[in-house]
Amino acid sequence: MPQGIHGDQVRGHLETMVLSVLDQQDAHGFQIVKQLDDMGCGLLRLKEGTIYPVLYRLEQSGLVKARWEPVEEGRRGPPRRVYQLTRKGRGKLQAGRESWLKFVDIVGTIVAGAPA
Amino acid sequence: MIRELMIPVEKAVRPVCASQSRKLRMREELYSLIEERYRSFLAEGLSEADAQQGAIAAFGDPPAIAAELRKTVPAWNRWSRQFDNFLFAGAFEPTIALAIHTGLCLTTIMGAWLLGMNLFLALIKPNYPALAIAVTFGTLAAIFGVNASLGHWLAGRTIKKLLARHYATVLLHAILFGLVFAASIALLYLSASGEFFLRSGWMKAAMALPVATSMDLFICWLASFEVAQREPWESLELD
Repeated sequence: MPQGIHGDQVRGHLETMVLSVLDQQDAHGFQIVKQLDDMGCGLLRLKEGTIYPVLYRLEQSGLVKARWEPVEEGRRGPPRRVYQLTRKGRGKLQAGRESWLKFVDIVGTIVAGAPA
Repeated sequence: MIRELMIPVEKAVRPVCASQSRKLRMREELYSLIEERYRSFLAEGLSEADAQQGAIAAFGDPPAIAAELRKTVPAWNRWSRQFDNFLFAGAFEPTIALAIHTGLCLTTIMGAWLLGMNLFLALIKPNYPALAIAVTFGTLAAIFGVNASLGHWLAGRTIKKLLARHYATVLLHAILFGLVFAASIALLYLSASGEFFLRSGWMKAAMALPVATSMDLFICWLASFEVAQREPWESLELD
């Protein structure tokens, strides 16, 4: 059975991952956590409370914006804020993806022990 | 709201130095997250106790979340909170000593500003009656301090009564504040020029009563909304 990926290993990439989730659809905190969990096939052992500090940082940098979700009839629970990617956020995500692919390429080559 | 789920949220948010509105937003969003996880566990067939435990475990370590939240608070927001704490000692319903502390702080700030301005005018204007004006400004700052002390002491109680819907007591508190404010205006006229004994001094003091009473009522009414939202969180006892 594969080992889970814990918080420390994810740190530094979480912002790009959140931007990536929001690129697919606007979402509130719990939806983002669930989406990350689904995409990580349950191996991403993210502490859920850490998602909001990430969202607040992204919001302050103008990469996402938040709005109150309209109240749905019959839904239980407190009101939620829905986060949406901004144009600046899309640019940052693109840069993050490129940087990540470059990183994987370099580290992958080294770790796999392929000849230079 | 479920008390057991509120506790980890409050443990993460309470140590953060930020404005009340920012902290309220943090509480609401983190609580929404933990409650949704709890409901998802219930939907999977877990018992209430297991769902609560699972949601709390999935939420993470509150001190670690508090440290992350702290980093998201802009410096200006933190400083304004610290200044607010210094002035009002963070107390919603202050003791007399805390209310006097607020009054003294505001008197010092206002007094320093007025006397600094007086000194500046004395330096640039020849024959400027600096001493006489300094006495007036000093009186003004002291009167302001007394009003601030009483205003702070009464406001907490007025808001509490507003939330409890004891409207007669609310009105009584506001009128008391209005009376002290009107007496302050009268005292100012008396100390400044003796004009108080003229018709205009009386009129202005009398007009100050309804104005100050209504303003006090309005401010307390506005503040009561925020207090009503904060109260369930701040009354939680964290071990």
